[in-house]
Amino acid sequence: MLSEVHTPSPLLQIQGLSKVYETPHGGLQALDGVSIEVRKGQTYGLIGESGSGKTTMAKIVSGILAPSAGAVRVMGEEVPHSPRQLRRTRYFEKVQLVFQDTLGTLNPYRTIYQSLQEPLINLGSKDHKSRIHRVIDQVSFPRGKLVSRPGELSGGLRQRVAIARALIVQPCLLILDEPVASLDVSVQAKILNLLQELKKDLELTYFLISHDIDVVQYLSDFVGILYKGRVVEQGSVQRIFSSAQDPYSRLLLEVHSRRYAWAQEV
Amino acid sequence: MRRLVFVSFLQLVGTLFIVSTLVFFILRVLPGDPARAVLGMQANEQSVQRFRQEFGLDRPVVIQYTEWISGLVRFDFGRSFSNRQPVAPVLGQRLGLTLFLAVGGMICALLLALPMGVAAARKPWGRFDTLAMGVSHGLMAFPEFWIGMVGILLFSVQLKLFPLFGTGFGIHLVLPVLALGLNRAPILFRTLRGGLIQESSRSYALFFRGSGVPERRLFWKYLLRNQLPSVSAVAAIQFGYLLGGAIIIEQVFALPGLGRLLMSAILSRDLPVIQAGVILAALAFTLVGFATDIITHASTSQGMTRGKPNG
Amino acid sequence: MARPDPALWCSNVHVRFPDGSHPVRGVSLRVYPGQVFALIGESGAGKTLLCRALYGLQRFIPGMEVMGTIGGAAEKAMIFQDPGQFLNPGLSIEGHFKEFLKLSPRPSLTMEQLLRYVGLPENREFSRKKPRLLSGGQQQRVMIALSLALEPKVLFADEAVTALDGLTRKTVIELLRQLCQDFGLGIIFVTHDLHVADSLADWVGVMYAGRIVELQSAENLFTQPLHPYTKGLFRSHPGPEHRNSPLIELPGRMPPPDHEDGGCPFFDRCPERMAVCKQHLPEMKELSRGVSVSCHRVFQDRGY
Repeated sequence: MLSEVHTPSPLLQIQGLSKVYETPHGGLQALDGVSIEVRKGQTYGLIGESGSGKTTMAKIVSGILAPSAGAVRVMGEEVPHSPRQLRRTRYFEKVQLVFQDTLGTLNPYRTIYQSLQEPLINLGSKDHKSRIHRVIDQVSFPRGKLVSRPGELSGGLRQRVAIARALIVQPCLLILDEPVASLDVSVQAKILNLLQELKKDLELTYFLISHDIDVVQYLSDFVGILYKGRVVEQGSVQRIFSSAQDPYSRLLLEVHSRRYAWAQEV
Repeated sequence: MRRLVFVSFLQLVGTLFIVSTLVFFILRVLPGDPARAVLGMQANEQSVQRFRQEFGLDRPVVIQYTEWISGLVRFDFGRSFSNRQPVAPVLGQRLGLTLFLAVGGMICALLLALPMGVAAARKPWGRFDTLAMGVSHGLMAFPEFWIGMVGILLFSVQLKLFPLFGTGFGIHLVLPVLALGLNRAPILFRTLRGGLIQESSRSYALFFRGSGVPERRLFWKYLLRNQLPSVSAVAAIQFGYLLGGAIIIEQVFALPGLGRLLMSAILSRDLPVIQAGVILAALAFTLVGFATDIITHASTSQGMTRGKPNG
Repeated sequence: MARPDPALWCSNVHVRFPDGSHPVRGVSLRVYPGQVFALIGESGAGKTLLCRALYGLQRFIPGMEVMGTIGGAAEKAMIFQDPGQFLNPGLSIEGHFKEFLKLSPRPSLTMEQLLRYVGLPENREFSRKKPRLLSGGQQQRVMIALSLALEPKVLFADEAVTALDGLTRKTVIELLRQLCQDFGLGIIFVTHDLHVADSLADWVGVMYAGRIVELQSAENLFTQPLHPYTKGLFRSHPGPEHRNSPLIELPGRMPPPDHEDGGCPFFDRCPERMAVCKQHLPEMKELSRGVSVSCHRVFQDRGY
């Protein structure tokens, strides 16, 4: 823990982030002065229900939406504010997104190989085949299925493709937006284990955004609770889950508590 | 809503202005001399000159154009070259019949397409649906004038059910309206059938059926209503075709409609009549489009609030 | 203690489709008035189709064929996941109630009473709204109120709270439990979410590859699961115990709905398999009152 004190500036730094959407009925405050820091190699889990501003958060951190106020920095550099800036600054080489809806974010008419090749063409890199093979081995996606199309794959395999596509540009930060929300329990376990292994092997940093308290608790080192655009409480995962202070976080965690003691011996 | 009406009105005025400008200049650059066309090749130079003076054809085109536009604003379409009468009243008379044919054809098409669409969609690829799909395929393949001619042969000549000719809005119009309707019904039928089949596989239909709502009611009251915007959009496009079809059908049945007036005007280079006819057609198209926008808007936007982002 | 008649029961129910798929394979269960029976399982287990077959929706689903005996009360109603899709987008809330109150033989409740019961505003401003203007929780409440208008004895709920957020979900679950008590309603609740089953169910049936492989009271099932699949589900679910260790994965995948019947469908994935499991499909046996399971290993350990 001592070493933490001496760590240089955090990998992801969010300072006083606010976002107001202009609507016909006036401004809508989606985010309101959010400040978060994530150090290299850590996982920060942001818990939020729908309407809390978590989707806005993911968009701003991934550089496709401009904040109204405040700043986001990755490795000290300001995050771009639009898709155009994003391309110019090659921000996507550092930060990648993994979504929940894998079917919607993969082109249904292209093979998995083609989908994985796309970011490489974009980067102007060569040697596509060996890079694709390396990354699908990392996520344990069978090489024989590279010629399949997204619709032919199970949800679990599609999520592996989504992770592979994010990893292929060798980013240092992954934004995980509800990465396992639509998966079955037994498939979810495989993806969660995979995410943990990849983080260790590739020294990744995760910014996890989810409504699933179990998943956040399992993956995260630090946890923040987002409510109506504000982080009402944040701290280490142990602290939040043992002694949350804020009334909303207490309510949220209490609603999530189990009626019975599940037989979950490890 | 008020905004939509305002914008649509501006669009209407804009479209009419562009159309009238285009048609004016296109007619002016076309080869051929209207004066010669009206007076005949044998006419002497003096009478040609007098004709040009009378209708202002000797003045610069820009002046002619401004006069024509300023006339339009006062609903003055000028005088016909051939009979020297004002164009507007004649046009009004003729338009009535063409509109009657087109509107009648549309009503006829809808009366056929709506019940058939519902009946077909209730059992996709059932006996009725297969039959209706086959018949609609056949009807789509035949142009309206062919249907009209077969109708004349069968019902007027052989069976003597309908008179061949007539005046005013009488029974002699049944066959032309039917021919137009039969030609346009298949598209409406197919649009509605497809839409209803899709709509009936949506989750709420399952919820309603599962709760005991009868099929007939489900289709007529709920599914059909939700499909009306898309059907009316298609119907609006079809109305354009119907106007075109009506002009042809007027030839087949020798009816004194706008189509025949325009035909003879084009042949005799009666420029004011052609111009007025084209503008009327443009007006009809834009008005139909405008009506569709209003219907779609009213049926989809009730209480819609936009702009609240997700999350 | 004499039990009341079940609000819904079924015996040896099968669901087949013409393409050879056989997603439900011999399910028997009973749902009692005032209780919630949760059917849990992963996607492809057949729980939604079983639920639809028990309700009698096969008439509206092309090709679906149901065999077996289904009995119980005739007054049934159904609510679904994602209520936004199950309400007619072109019809106001009021319009929905008009239609549904018409379906009840002798409506004893008014729209206002129903709205009040499920905790929604009773004013015209609300009831004139179209479904999409309501939040997910409100939509689900409308759907519950609509099904109550049919005055059911059995309520079928298919993933009815899955799309809702934690806090809203809790309040809807409480509403459903309240319904059970107030109306003596039997609820059959389909879900893949173990948390929902934990907070809502009195009885739980675990479905795997078209069959119920374990059926117990919720308390017993969560604290002492018997079937290796149930145990595997709990072990692979993230929870406080897993904080510093990887989740224990269930290897392999569930057999598809058109698989050939042979031995135990869980054989390939089972950590406790025995030779007999490969050849013989275990029957569903009631070990003690209210505890049924189909697993050769459990039978052997318990001397059956």
